[in-house]
Amino acid sequence: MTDQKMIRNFCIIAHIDHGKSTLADRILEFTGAVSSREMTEQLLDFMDLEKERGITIKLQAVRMNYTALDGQQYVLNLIDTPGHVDFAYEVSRSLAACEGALLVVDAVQGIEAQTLANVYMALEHDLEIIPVINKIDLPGADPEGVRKQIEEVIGLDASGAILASAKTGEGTQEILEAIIKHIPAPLGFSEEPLRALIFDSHFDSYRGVIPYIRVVDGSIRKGMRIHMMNAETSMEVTEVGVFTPPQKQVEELCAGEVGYFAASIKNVKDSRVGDTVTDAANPAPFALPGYRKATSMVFCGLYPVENNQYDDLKDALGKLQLNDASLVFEAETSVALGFGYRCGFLGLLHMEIIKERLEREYKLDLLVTAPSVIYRATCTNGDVVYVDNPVRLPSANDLSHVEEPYVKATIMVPSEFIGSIMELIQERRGTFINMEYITPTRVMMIYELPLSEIIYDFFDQLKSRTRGYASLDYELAGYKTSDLVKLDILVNDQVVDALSCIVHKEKSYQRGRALVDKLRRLIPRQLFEVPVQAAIGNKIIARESIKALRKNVIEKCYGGDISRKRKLLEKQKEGKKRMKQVGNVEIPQEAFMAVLDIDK
Amino acid sequence: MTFKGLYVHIPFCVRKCNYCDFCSYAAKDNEAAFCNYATWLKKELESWNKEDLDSISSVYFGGGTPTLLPLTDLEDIFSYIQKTCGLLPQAEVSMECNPGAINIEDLPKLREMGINRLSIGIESFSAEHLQQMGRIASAEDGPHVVEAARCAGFDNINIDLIYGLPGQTLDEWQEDLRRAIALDVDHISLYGLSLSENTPWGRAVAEGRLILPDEDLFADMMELSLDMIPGAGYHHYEIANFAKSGYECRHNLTYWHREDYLGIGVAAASCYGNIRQTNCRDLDEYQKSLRQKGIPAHEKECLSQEEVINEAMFLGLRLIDGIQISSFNNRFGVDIEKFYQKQLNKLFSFGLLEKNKGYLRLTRKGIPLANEVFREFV
Repeated sequence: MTDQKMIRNFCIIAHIDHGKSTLADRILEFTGAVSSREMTEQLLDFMDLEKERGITIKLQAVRMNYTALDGQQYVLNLIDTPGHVDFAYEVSRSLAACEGALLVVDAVQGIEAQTLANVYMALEHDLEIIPVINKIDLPGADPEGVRKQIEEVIGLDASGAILASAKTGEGTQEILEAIIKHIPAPLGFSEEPLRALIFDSHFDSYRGVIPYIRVVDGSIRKGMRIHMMNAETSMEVTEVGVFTPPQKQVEELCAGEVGYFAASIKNVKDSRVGDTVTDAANPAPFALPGYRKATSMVFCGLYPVENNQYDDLKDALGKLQLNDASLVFEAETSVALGFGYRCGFLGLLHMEIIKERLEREYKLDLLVTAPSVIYRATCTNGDVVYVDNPVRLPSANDLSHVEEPYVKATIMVPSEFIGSIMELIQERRGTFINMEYITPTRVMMIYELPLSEIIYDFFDQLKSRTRGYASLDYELAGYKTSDLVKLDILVNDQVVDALSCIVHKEKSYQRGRALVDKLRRLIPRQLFEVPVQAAIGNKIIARESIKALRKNVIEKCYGGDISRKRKLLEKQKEGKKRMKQVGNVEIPQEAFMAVLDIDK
Repeated sequence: MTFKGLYVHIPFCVRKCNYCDFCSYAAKDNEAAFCNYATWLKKELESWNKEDLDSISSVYFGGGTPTLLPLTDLEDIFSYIQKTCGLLPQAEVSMECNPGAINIEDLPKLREMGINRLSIGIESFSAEHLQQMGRIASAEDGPHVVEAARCAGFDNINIDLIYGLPGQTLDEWQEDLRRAIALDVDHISLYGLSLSENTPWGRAVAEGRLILPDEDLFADMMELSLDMIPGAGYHHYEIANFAKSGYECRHNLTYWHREDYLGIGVAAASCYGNIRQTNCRDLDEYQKSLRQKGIPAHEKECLSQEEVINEAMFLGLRLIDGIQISSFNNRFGVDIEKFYQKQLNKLFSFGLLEKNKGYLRLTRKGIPLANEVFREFV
């Protein structure tokens, strides 16, 4: 048992690219948890995908031993946090597992919206915050300016901010000393019944789900029977351990400590992030606060391109779900696409990650329909229906009104871009809430926007219209009634259900025309003329036609190189195979995503 | 096995045209290979059994630009072929020729040597298009060479034309067809431009720097050809080929009939039984492989019987007369109407294929859409 006085639990708050992972690497090196030789770049980012995207998706935690300048040996637990707005709840849980946080700000870029949101969240959790100004080695670094920003924007005392360069290692020791000095030791009650917070988990094929926990009160050890206070399930602990970073078994984890346990948990639903683990024989009277079930914000249909991959898709989704309780899916059938799954995600990034993992790790060839939010439809008879697939929107006759989810979006941007932001917000049906100059040249703008308007390409647009300077954070702000209609697309006079979408009435004509025009260009010519129409109810609002194919023939002889001819034909055939046959028409996969970028 | 056709690839050009993805090298940059090429070809031919070569009915010198080789080398190769192979008495001996790279005085000598069919790559009659294409010939060269070839005694002359060129109009193509007809040659091949990505034009199109005629114009050009050339007395016998009666290219028919042929030289393709093979495309590798292993084959495919039948289908259907069902069934021991029932019904229903007097053939609608048909057989 480690004396709580000698424990420090902390996380790192930083905007993407501000150097969080590199700094974590330096700390691991400095404390000797990982030798520089073992250090593959940025150790905490586990999955290839994370490395590619330069962001952390899956949380990790590391325990380090550090002998401070006062000669005492401390145990430091670094809990990594995901760096994307989709994963705000996960961030809040890892913050809840800490007593302090390093606030890392890029000395060139300054504070970004995401950082701000996470700092506020950390302050809500009463975390002690140590400002670190990173990348001071870069030309253009303005540590003083950034120091001022931290004070003015966040209201933190930044006089003691540490100047660091995670790249060169400068400032690492100062950071570690500041952690010891400023971050409070945990104040759990060792004698009370066990209460441990689950802040993450992963699935191990031999040991089942491995929850990552912060023990708040009491202790957990092998052989103990435990109870999940929210999931209301009980199981026996088969192993407890810490991350060194490799997992290392220990006798027990006591109040203040961070580690993992195994209990042959088969389903990740039995160990959700945020749940409280207690002693089944001697349960705590109250669970730790802050637990909620992950809510899916974005839904889309996932369909195998080859129908025979349906079962593989189901298996793969099931396996991913073992690791990711926020992924939900249920079987659905589309007239156009056949059998597939409607999946719910925390956000668009989460959706893209799942899709890429399915394709990469499970070798599935997938067709993805346009993402949709959940609409709340109230029928004339008073029934309320939650619609996660446009197809399920009740018909106009039965509808009283439809509400859509709104978000409160915080955008931080250099003041020269105010005009561009206002224009973008206007296009996206946003309403102004507040604007504040945080420095003479930077403003924070707050708007309310329909979630559906930001899930597609809002962030890309924001970035491109501000030359990459804008940053965004948003949180759900409830449902509001909107004038929404279902837009159907007919190809060769048949409604293609997978192309239906719910749009604002004022935008429906423009969108219908754009969509039809886009599809005309995306769907290759067929052996007959194919009309493409957009309709609201029975009313056709746009129409184009795809002319019949007229010429497709290899005329060349290739000097008798028939293999080459055959390969060309095979390639054409392969291309055809990847299309979906809807009625008599072959529709390429991109067409089903067409709604995404018609505004471009 | 008995090869019916012999293809000889001469992979040298003065320079490469912007659209060309055939295997060819600039002669001046590959002097050693250029000088030794005749020797290599002889060596390659030597590696084959004489018995397999004793009833050759067609020889085809393709390229590249065969006439770029010195006449003495061409004579050397051809006399070696005559010595080694059993050429049938009426054998067709074709040679491709680029109007910009032929010495008119050589034409009588080529004829004398035994070349009895000349295939002239005119490609276009427009100076502007020729220049854009990167052809070395001028607009006058083509007709001039045709005339000279006639004088030299060639009584079987083909010309090649390409349509669907960047910026080409339907009127321009009509003019090209008129000029082609006016030359009164014996055989005309018309190829719609198709670009692979590894050509200058292919890249330019991919990058949006070059715009090709759209599908409708391209199709209109083909339709126009299918009206005009047969209207001038040529028999449309294969998708891209038109001939006066009796002048169908026997060598190319070997391909479409899926009979055995041997290809020698860099990148040359051969077919015998269920084997298809292609020689190394690289000059050095070709030579090295020839020296070390005696054979320069680089890719060899062994096809299953079903693949052989598939090929025979999509090759046979290139012929406008189509496939004679009974003889096809006898040759391969299948009943194609049963074997391909599903595919055939689909193609019949789309109006791309028809059955007529015991033949399966492309319909008029099916000719410009032939890939839609062929794809069912791969």
